[in-house]
Amino acid sequence: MTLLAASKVSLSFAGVRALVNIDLQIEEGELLGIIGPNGSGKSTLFNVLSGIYRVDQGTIVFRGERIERFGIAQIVRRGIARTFQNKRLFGTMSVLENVEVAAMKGVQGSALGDVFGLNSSLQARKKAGAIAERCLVLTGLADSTGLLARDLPYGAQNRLEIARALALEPTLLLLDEPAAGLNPSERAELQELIRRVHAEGLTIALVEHDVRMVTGLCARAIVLDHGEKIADGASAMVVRNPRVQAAYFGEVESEEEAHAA
Amino acid sequence: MAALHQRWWFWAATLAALLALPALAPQYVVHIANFILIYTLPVVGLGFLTGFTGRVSLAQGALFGVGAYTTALLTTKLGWAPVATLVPSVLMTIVLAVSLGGAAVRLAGLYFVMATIGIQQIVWLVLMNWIELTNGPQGVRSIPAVGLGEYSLETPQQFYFLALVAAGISYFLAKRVIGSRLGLFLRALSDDQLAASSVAVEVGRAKVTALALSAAWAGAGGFLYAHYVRFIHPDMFGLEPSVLFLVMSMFGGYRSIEGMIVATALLESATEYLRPFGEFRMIAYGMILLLGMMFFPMGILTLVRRRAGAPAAGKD
Amino acid sequence: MFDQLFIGGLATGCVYAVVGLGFTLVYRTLRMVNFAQGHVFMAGAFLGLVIAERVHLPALPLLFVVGAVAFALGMVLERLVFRRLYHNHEVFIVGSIGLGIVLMNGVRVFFPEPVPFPKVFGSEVVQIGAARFQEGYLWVVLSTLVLVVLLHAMFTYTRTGRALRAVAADAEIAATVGVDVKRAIALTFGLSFAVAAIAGVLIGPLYFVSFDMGDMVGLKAFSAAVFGGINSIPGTILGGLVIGVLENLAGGYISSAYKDLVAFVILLVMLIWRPTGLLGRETPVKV
Repeated sequence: MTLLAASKVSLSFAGVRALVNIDLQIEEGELLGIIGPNGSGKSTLFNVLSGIYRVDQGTIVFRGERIERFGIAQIVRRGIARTFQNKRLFGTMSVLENVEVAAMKGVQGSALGDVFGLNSSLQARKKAGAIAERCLVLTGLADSTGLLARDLPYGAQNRLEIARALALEPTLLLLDEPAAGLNPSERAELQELIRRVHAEGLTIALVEHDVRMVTGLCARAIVLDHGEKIADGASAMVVRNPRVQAAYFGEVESEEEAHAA
Repeated sequence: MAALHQRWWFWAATLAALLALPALAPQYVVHIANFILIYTLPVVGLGFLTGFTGRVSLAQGALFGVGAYTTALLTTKLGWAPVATLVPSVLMTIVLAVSLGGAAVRLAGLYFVMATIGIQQIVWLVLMNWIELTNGPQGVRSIPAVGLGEYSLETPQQFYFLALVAAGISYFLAKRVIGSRLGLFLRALSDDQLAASSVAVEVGRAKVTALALSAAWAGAGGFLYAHYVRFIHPDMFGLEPSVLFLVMSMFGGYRSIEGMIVATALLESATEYLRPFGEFRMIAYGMILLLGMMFFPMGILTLVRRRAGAPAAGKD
Repeated sequence: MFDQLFIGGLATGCVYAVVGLGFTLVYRTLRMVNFAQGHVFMAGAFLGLVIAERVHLPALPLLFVVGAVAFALGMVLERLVFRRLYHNHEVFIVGSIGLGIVLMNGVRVFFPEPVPFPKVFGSEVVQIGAARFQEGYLWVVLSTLVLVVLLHAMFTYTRTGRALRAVAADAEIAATVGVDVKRAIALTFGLSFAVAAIAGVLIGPLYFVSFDMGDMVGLKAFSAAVFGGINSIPGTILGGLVIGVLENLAGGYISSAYKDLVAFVILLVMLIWRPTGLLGRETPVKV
């Protein structure tokens, strides 16, 4: 079943076309890879899906509902959660609090109830705490709950972004270059984490620069170039498509060498 | 456990000292203590915006004035009992703050500061010029003292306990607000607004709520102030108190309600004791602001807190 | 009556525009608001007064000397004071308010009462249409014009001016192409002090000068800058003129009591409607 369907989505900034007539289906339960060179529109696509940018044209339907005019918070409430490429954590808050904020989405009660210690609110806080705890355990952060987010090492900040998104209990998770800046062992851990989360039934779309990671993780992939979708299909096939090779591969190889060096 | 034990003693000693103060200290000291206790309300209220939301307001003095004028006019012109005007004063302040600042509080940081300067001046100019309602530059005289049954709180010593209870409630409630999910949301959005919306925090609503809360605290503080000084004038609610409240909440250090209260006490007593020096007092006050910001941009109390170890993560 | 109100408003508007320029110069370089600006204007008026009482200088040299002294003072204060306040905008606001209080009360020690200013710009009455004015009003308008042209020429044609513009546009990029950013910031403060002080001397002969004259003018000039666009020099000048004229007309036709309200209502409405002001440009948000 199709979970999300974007059709003919276009967006320009001051005359520069960032997305051109993008059609995209994400099926329930799949792990979709989105690849493309720098500036190809991958992150822009995520920003459109998560409500940060409004489309100029086109529709986005998520679980039978048009969402392209919704605000950021509205879209999260419908069940799309995301991470950011350039880590946007709540730096002055503890690791646990970072995740708790997100976990609050799914629980009842009100701020006023919290202030006056109403039972329903206390129960809700407890529930949020439990959700947060579970997400922290899943991402291997259970031992650093008291640290401030900004004091975490980079790799752990990365996992905290994912834990925070998971605490929203989403139907669809958008991961924006989660492997950027990680060392090989951290990459392996991350892949393992993504597999595990996916195995629990979560639908995931993964923007990634590293083609090997995408072919390793995702059955299907799409390729963007200059804001256009130039390929869509089985990830192993997609990367052999000549257009993709032309648009993308030279750059990736040099990137890979840079990682190896 | 040792820390908790020590803390228990600390609170008990503070409470005992506060209760004994009017009996032991000279009247002048009690008088200053009353101002400190009253000012903790607008300062703590402002803290919801500055420390916790990352929104600096220079209109808190005006909102404090709205609370004071509401109760002053209701009691002197319509003859209401002072106790009955607390709720209207608070509500009036909230309504005014939200209607003038509700749209502006969604703006990026510095633009909000600019808007609050506009609000501050508008309120002050209206208090000064709407003579039929506010008496304009004549001010409002003979505001009645707060009465509890037969008992009227006229002297500084009598008023002290009311102010102490009010400051206590304000402190306690503020701690609860900060500990609530709203506090969590506000801290999140002041760290990163986009990230906060993308974890489903209704950023706009949270900010307006913070503004309304800070106005409520200011209104309650204004209520106390009017019934303590019993004569109010528009100039008491100009830009000067707004700056003073902002400085008190900033000197207290980032996101610490206790710090704000201590800073209020220090700054208020310092400026009171400088009073005999006339214009030199104001020079000294300006120097305190300037040097304080130059050398302790995160608040004077952060030094002490750093040394005591980071308490922010708390018991978790 | 309209002519009289309009030209009077134009002269006040020029003062708002010039003092407002001080806000704009600092804002576009640092994204900070210097709330001592109004008090620099006041201090400039008193500096002019002190000089004019001791040395008999014609108007132009007087303006020049005051501008030069204020420029130097701005550079020095940048080094000693402002530089330590760049932490964030709250710190800068409170620190600069503190500096303003020090300036105001420092002057108050020597001049506790309002004092008349020597009539350095002549005291003849000029007739334009139905309106009659002191010569001083013309001086204000003409000097503002000259000042704006000079500033424009400096920003367009001199190396220093181009460097200042580069720093205002993007300090990091400016630094990589070899602009001395620290010096540019110091010069910016020098300029903002100089224009405000010159405005003080221009307005001095038209009214009495007093230690608290910078309070209201500073806040209105600030409103003018925000209204026109606080990162835009033409915007600030337009904003100053519009607010000066509108408040004078409102004072004349509606009620003098609410004359002062005009600037602040405009400020608030503008911020909600279009925070970047009439001519200001939006800075794009990066995600």
